[in-house]
Amino acid sequence: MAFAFIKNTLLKPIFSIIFIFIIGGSLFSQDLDIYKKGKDDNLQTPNIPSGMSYSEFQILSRNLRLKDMLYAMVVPGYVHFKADEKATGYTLLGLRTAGYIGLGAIYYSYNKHYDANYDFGNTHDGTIDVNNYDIAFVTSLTVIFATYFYDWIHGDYKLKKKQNLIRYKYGLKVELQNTYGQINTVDVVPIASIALSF
Amino acid sequence: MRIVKYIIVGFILLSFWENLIAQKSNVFIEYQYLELTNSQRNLDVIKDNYRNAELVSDSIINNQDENYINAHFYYELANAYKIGDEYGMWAFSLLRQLILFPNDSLRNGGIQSFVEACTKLKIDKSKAINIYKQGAKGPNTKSFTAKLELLIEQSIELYNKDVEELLQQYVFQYKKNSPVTSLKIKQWEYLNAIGLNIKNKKELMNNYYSATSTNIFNNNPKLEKKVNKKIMKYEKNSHSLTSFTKLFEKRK
Repeated sequence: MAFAFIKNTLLKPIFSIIFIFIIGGSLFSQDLDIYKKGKDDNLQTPNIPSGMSYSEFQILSRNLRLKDMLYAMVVPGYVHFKADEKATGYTLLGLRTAGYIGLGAIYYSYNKHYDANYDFGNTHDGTIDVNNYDIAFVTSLTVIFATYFYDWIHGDYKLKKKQNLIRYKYGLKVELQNTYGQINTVDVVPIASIALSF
Repeated sequence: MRIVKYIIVGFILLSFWENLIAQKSNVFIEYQYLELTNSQRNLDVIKDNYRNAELVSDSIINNQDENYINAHFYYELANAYKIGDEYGMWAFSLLRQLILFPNDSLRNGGIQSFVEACTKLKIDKSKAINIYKQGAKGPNTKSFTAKLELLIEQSIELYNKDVEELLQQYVFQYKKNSPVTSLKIKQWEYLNAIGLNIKNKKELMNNYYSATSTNIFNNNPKLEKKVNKKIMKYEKNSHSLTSFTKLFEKRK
């Protein structure tokens, strides 16, 4: 009886409330993001290893998020620019622009020559062959989508590779600094040391 | 109670002391890192560290630090450049080790590696051996500035773009500590200032220091015309050839 009551009456509102909380939570967030940011990272002053350049610091603090995927749709080569791969970024920018120009040209040309009475299958003067436009249209679209996916996938790979190199380099150097080696650059002085471990 | 206080203070002092003594220098860490990465032969990792290694090298030159580990650092850096196919910097790093921080244990491997690097730079074997031997002989005085002068003079002979970029910094450092600049360095600086390319610079300098060539242009009117044009453009006055003639006057 009680189970039937819960099932029939309460289950719907409970699920509705949970659903509202989930949706509401993401509405209040400032970014389209699946990771929750619990604190303001901008207030933290990072410990920067000596020798790290500003461009390395920038690369290391960059993450690819869902909003970047959207930006990359609008700005060709965006992910490569973010990964500091300017040459590839500009190439993608050029290719995607060519794709957009191609689409624009097809649209303009098609509208100009379009004959509403055109009988497909019969060719007569003053009309157009739709098949040529199809090829140009598909090529332009392929260039646009291919550059987008290349930008996203290859850019992501490049950024992560660079971040790994930086992390490896400075991480290993910090470790080398902390380990006690046999050779020292200053004259070797006999020392007594006590280590406390908890 | 007092004894407890002394023990605590003693512990604190000991831990400070240990940190002070066991602190490793950047050169030693860089040397260890180069050793680890060179053995992995991962080009991305090795090339990524060139800038950092040169920063450490700059600190050695600026501080005129004469620690024995510097020789090992430069030798390992030369190996890193060798793996990355940076022939000019490979030879230059070996020269830096040889002249600034001579080490007998690195001599045999050093000369072989240097000749190999020079072959890649299209410098003939006899000349490469001559450069290395001049470097191994060292300067007349033991001062760091004299060593730096010899290093610059010998490195000019490599005629490599990457090396020349670094040499400009080294010349700046050398001139800060030396009231008189050597003629060869002055000549090289002048040819750089007028914007002569490496090929022509090499030809001109080789002609000047060669015992066989009759004049500096070695009867090459095309080169003479090009050099004169560059000088006119640089000096912007009618007496423009004065500095050039003075610098490259006939050897006695």
